[in-house]
This record gives sequence, structure tokens and C-alpha cells, in this order.
Amino acid sequence: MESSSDDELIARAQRGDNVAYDALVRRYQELAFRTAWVILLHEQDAQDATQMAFLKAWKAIGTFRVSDPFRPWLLRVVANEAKNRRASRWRWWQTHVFGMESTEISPGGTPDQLVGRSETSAALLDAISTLSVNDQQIVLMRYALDLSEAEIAATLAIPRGTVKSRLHRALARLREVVDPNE
Amino acid sequence: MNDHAELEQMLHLLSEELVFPPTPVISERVKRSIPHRRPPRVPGALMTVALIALLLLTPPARAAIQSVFDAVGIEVRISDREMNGTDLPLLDESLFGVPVSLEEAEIAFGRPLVIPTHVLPEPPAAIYLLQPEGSSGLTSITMVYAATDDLPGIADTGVGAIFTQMVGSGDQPWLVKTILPSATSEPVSTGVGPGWWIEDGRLGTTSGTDSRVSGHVLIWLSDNRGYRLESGLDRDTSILVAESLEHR
Repeated sequence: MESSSDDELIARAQRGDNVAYDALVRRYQELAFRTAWVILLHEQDAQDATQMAFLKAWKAIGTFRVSDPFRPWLLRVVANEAKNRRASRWRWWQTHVFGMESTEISPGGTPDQLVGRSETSAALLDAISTLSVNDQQIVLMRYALDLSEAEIAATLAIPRGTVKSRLHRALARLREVVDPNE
Repeated sequence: MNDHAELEQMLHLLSEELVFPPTPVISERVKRSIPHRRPPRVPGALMTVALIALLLLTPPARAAIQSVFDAVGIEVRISDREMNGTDLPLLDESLFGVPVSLEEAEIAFGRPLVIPTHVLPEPPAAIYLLQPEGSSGLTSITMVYAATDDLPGIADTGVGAIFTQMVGSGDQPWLVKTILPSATSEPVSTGVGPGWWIEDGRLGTTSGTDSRVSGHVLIWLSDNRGYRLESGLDRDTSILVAESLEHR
């Protein structure tokens, strides 16, 4: 089962094979969890979002076209779940704590739970934390999760050109922070 | 030449050094939660949730007491004041009816009952039937589950969950769920239909002002039935319970 291809497992899952779907979940749970974490910056929320996303993906897997790549499709489900949670969490805070009506999304937190093993990586992480939430997500997805620009676009449901321009802007900003004299 | 080549190289190196929070074993939880049959899609479910969300975001629509979401036989109201009636017991007859056997409940319901398969232990400890007069054939079956290690008790009652399924006329609500200003509430999509999640609300009937404090409550609509789950479970687990219903 572990050596089966995604296409084989998906085809079986589409016929209602729970065991095949379980193999897919085990194959992608780490990447899915980290993707949710990059969006939510909260371990428990990311865990809940990932679990719910896998359940939703199971229900929707009958609509998945086997000829398409599975990974970006799954990550899109994960990202949608994570973004919905972030938005509803913020709306709750706005309504119940601040008594506000705006639907603006929270600036969120910073990836300070991530740990870099060296001074350089710690400095880079500090620099990443100065970026906007959207730019943080794209940088972490591209470099920490090693997603391609096309996969990031599919995951976040935005045009690939937007990913490219945001990434370029984020790198320029990072370079300013890491090496301000350049 | 890429202007950011050196920086990108540093970022790639950074990714090798990063220590993410440990990945939980999600596969086991997903495996336990996958129902044996696929729940049917409910047309318009997302639209309903969107409309509910819109209502809540519109100040005039929040005025005083208002109905915001009517599951079959269950009405949700938002209130700007505390309720003044008598505090009812957890399983008051006016709320859930009289004790019956599973077979009696199914005959009265007139169609196969559904049973939650997630977290709630089988069989239920008690079953109640409610067929209020003048309610256009509304029938409600309530299954009561004892608290277990996985199912925390509601207050100190020893009751872990109260699961109700209702059929009948949608314009004759019976159970009334009131959301007080201090309560947490939000529309949710359960995957089997639109729903509403409420923490710290009160439960009453349309026949009077008596009510009682309730546990966390998920109300949802699916297959022209109204459902209500009251328990100490959190929102996401309650949704998993909603998605785990199977015909008996």
C-alpha cells in the first residue's frame, strides 16, 4: 500500500476504499499540517484544520480528476479550511471582544514557534516575521515547505503571477532587513 | 541574473534547519471519523450559511430577539436580555417528551432513525419521544448518552450528550435555542448541511418562558430533518458527530 502511486490510491478511495485513503492521509499529513500551521500559526488550530480538511477531501474525492495532481488539490482544501478558521476566529474576536463590525482579517501572529538551529537561520526567521501575513505565508510555503509557485497558487487560490510578484516583493523586503547596507 | 539568488540560497538552507511543531498523528483520527457511507450533499447549504453570516453582520437584523436559523422544529434566537422563567431540569418532559424504547421511537418517527457513530457510545442510555399537540405532526426523538472518558459530562449530571432528531413542519418550531449576549455562536457548515454552533446559550420551548442552561450545542439541517447535539464536546468534534450519522 505504501508503495502504491497517488493515482492508484485515489482511484481506490473513489470506490470507497478507506484503507487506500488512509494511506494517502499518512503520506500527506505532515505537509498538510505544516501548510495549515503556516496559515494559522497555531498548533492546535492547525491540527484541527488539517483533520477537518482530510475529512472534507474524503467527501469530495469523488469529484477529483485522477489526471490532475493530487497534492495541490489537497493543499487547497487544507488552506481553505485554515483560512476559514482564521477568518472566523478573527470575526469572533471583533464581535465579542472589540464590538467591531469590520470584516478585515487579523494581521495574525508571527512564526515565532519555528526554531532555527543557527544564528543565520534565527536572523532570517526574525526578518520573515516582519513581513505581512500574506507574504510570510508565501515565503514559508516556497522555502520551508518547498512548494512550487504553481502549487502555492493552487493552494491559496490566487494567480501564479500574484505569487511571483508577492514572492519578489517579500524577498526584496527580506534583503533589506537581512543586509540593510546593500 | 537573479537579484535574490544568495538570499534564496539562504532560505533554502533555512528550510533544512527549521524545526516545525511536531506533526500529530492525524491519520488515526481521520480513519476513526470517516463514515461508512458518504453523506448526501445538501443543495444550497453554503448559501444558507452565507445568508446567516450576512444577517449577523447587519446591525438592524440583530435587534432584540430575532430568529436566525430554523432547523425543522428548532428555532435559534438572538436575545439582548436574560430570560426570567424557571430553571428547568436537564431532561424536562416539556423539552424532550417521555421515555420510550428504540423500537417505539422508530415506529413513532415513521422512518428509520439515525445514530451518531462518532464518540457517542452505543447504545444510548435513554430515548425520549416528543409529539407536541398542535405542532403539525412534529416528532422529535432524543437519545441521551452517559458521560464516558471521551465524552465529558454536561455540568455534573453524568449525561454526556443529548442528541435529538426531528421531522415535521418547519413553520412550527418547538425547541427554542436562545443565544444570550454572553454566549458564543456562529454559523457552521457541517458537511451534511448548514448548522449553528452555540456555547453558553439557553434552551426553552415556544410554550413559555421557562428554560435551562445548556451545554455546547450544535444544531444542523440535513435531509429535511433537524438535528441538535448538546454536549461538552468542542465545535469540531460536534461537527464530526454530525457527519457520522448512520441509519440504524
